[in-house]
Amino acid sequence: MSDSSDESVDLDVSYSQRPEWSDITPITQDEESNQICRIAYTENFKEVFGYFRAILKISEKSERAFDLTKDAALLNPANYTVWYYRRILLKELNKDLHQELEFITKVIRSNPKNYQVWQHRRCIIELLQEPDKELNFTEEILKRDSKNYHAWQYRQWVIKTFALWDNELDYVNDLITVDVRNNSAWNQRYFYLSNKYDLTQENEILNREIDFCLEKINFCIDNESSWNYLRAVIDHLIKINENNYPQKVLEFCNIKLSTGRDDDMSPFLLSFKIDFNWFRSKEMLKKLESNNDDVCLKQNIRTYANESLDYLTKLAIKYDTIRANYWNYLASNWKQEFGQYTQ
Amino acid sequence: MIDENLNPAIVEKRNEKLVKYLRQTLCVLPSAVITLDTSKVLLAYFAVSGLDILNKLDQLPHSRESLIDWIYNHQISETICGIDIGICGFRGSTTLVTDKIKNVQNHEYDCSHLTMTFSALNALLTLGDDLSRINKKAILTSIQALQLLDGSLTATSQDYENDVRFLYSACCICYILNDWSFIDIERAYSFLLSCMTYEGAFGQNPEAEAHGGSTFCAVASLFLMNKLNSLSKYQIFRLKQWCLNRQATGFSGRVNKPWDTCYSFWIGSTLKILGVLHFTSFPENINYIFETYNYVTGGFAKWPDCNPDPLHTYMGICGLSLVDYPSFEKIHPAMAISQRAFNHLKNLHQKWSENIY
Repeated sequence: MSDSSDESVDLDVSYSQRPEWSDITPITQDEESNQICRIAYTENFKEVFGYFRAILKISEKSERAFDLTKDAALLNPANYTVWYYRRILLKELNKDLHQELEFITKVIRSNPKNYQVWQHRRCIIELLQEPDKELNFTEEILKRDSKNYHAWQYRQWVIKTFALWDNELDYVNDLITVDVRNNSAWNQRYFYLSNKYDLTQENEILNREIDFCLEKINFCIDNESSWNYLRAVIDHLIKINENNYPQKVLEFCNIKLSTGRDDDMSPFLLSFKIDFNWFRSKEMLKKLESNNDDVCLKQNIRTYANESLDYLTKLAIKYDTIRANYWNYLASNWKQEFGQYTQ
Repeated sequence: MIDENLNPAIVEKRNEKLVKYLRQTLCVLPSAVITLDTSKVLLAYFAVSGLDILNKLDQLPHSRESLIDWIYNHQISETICGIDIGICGFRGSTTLVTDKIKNVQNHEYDCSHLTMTFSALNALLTLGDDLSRINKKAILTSIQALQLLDGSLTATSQDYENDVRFLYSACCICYILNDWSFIDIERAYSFLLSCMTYEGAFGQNPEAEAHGGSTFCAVASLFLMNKLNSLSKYQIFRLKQWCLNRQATGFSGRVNKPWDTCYSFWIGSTLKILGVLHFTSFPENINYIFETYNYVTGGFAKWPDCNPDPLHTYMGICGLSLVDYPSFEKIHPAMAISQRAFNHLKNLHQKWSENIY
């Protein structure tokens, strides 16, 4: 819900008192259909929308109609038809689009979480083809709420449409430095990376990202954002080359896991290792199908299974009890799949 | 605290207040909710279905007939120019209606909204209506007109905002009307896939951050169009894990965001569809939802000590129903209506299939 209110519309002179509107008879809202889920409209709202209905009915394309859409939009910025009609008038009357951009800037500042206002801004920029101020503007909004979904969607659109990639990685890095848990910033990092590079090819870039993740995880281990990102990067790396599993990730995990400190026992670390163990063990199980006597493989599976079962127990009873049912279920999967190797 | 939430006397008392809040929603709302002015049909659906889940449909503040008529008043069955370019379906309110004859497009700016059409159908089903006054052909033709090349849909003929929310609305409409021939399912599926993020869940549009509401819309859509099985095992695994990780006490909608009552529904329902809701903690979830309960007005808010609103109230009720809260009717997780209303729909489908001959 927006924080906009009627106060922003101050009708010095009511429409019915304005000589330039004297030829228009406002259309009142049908009372009968307004008896259910009735909103206690303010007098201003009733008046402005009475005239707006009358204007829509005759599809009047005039300066006064354009002014009216401003009041109507401020009274309810979520009314998409008001914005739609305003855009028609903008084009029809050849209005100054820079002025409109100033207007929508103000409206977004007071309604930053409203869909229609961002949509309107996008339409203006599409007409103007001038994206110069857009990155600054979204940064201003994101300064107030660094996870505003609308602002991020809009920023991605601007960057993609006008190829404004140059400073985006720096911006993202700044945001992640300020708040390593800012998941919107992590998402933007992925957005940048996947558009800039072909991630099915770029070994080097992916390895750089692994280093970045490990540094951030080392700084704050219990951070789902960096772990999710790490998983995605590894998935790409493995696809490039199956034997390319980044050993440094495993080494990092093993060091953290071996400290035995509660602070290091993040559920994200444990579940990461458990999932790794699972996929590795499944691979080895496949190999065992062709060579059933490989003692070494069996021994490895046993090590992975025992380690995983240990972590799953710890997650269920100590480190992540809210998901105990899930961890217990995974443990039962391990026993079912690899139980014969753990004895 | 947790025991208190399940104490029958307390449950009863809170239900009474919830009923009061929902009844109020169906009568008069304060001007503070003015941005919902174009979404009254959605509000009515929340309130009517909320009462249904509470097993209190007998306490509607209006007669069923008048409510049903009121909803049908929002239907546009005919356009001015005769051809449909995404106009037919339901408006969200009569705010821009100018004529007495409401079921015809009143002027060239009068149009339906996909989410309102979906809400109207859900509310009608909940009220036991047989949908006989629905102009199916007009609505489905409209959906066809609103689908874009990338498979997504816009909400109206005026917006070019297109994202998973409206694809979900369209899937529900096709499911209810029991006709998928006006929507390109393959394209819709590929659009949904493009919204799946590196985190394993879905964003509102391609490349946007994974989000609980979008994830629900995507998963429910895949379920309704019978495409959930087309995801790989690994995709499903990551998706489940992402959703399960959303629980703190209540659920959050994005990674590292605070929990919020509505995600007990968005994420809860997604997990239910994926068959793993039982891996979450029900008591913690129930406990959080009631931390956002308003003891004076009876509704739910997003956070503790915030003002309740109709959306969070309905989402809270649905969230509770999903985790077997006592005295609540079960919901159908993908359609977001009571199982009873869903069964009524199934009966209608049966009748329609018999009537063909």
